[in-house]
Amino acid sequence: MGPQPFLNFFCKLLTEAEIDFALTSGQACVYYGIQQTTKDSDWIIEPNDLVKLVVLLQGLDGHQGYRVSYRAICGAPCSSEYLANGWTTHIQITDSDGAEHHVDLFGAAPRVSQIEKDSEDPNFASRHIVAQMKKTDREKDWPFVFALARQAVSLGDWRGVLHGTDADWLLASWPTVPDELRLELTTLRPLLSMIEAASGKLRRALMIERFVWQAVNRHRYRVFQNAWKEFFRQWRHEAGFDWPSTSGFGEQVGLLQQAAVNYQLPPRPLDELAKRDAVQKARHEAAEIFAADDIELDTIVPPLTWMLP
Amino acid sequence: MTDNNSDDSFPKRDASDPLYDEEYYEFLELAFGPEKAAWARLPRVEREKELAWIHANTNTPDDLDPWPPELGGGVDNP
Repeated sequence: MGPQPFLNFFCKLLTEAEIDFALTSGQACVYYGIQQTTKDSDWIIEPNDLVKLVVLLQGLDGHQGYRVSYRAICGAPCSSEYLANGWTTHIQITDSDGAEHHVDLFGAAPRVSQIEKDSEDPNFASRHIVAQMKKTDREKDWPFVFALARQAVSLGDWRGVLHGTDADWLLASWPTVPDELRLELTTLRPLLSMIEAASGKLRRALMIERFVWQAVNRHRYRVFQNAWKEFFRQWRHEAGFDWPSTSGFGEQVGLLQQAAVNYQLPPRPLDELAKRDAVQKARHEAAEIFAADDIELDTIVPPLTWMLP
Repeated sequence: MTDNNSDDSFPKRDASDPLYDEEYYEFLELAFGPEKAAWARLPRVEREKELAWIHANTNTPDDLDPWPPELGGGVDNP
């Protein structure tokens, strides 16, 4: 089964199981006509439905030639305790043709406070959500952010101006934004106020803002990576360690849950203090690289609750 | 923006698959190259046919990093 038929198959399974979900990231970009080649899939699952998802996956494992397994780098247990706090779970589904499908599961997606779906196809996260998720520290993700921004504004979703990365495009688009939306959008993206002020600093502000997003993301995921590596390092030294075991998915679920308890994988490593720390570090780095002072950064850096909800 | 593809040889596009203005596709060409921009111009049905062919006939590059980019993946695969 190719990647596209697999997505249709898995969407149908989730829908039939009444699991609230949204396909996001690369596959959503494929849906929106921006990307060609990704095969992995990222799914936002309503955390309260994760129990149903685990039951579904256990039922799929061994059914009609399907095999479900955690991947070696498994992320956290597939439970609301972890995924609602920013962790991801990484599984592999092997279909009856032997094709392997990598499936990454989110509960609370990075930079996203609430699932929002495409109005035309509710299987997919909205452009606004996908753009927000794509604000990673990988340079290659940013053209997707901007492409989604342009699409959104073309379709009358003015929140696209929250994601535009080109000064000329922002200058041309901002006058079309209804007056009543401007204050809310500017609160989320302070640099938009520079457009009306005609400060002549918009291009510089866009560079600093992107740097801050990237730095915040780096500091955010390091918290998770460090916690996971510490956990896995200890688990690997356990006598008889075998992961991912060749036993069924159901047994793997129990093994990972027990290991998370035994080796104290923290459910919520990115607490409020860690969030503030990530933003503070990003501001310090921006101040050093761009010679920006606090007053200037205050006119550029988005609110913490927007970057790390 | 127009709702329908002007070329009658392609299936009609619906609201879930709009055609964007020319500047948008010029941006895609600059950002991703002419091949991907040409693919993006196709109606969804044609895009999916192309994808099926690409996946069936090429060793499709992918994010092979074990972590998704949202958790730091891609550092070794920029």
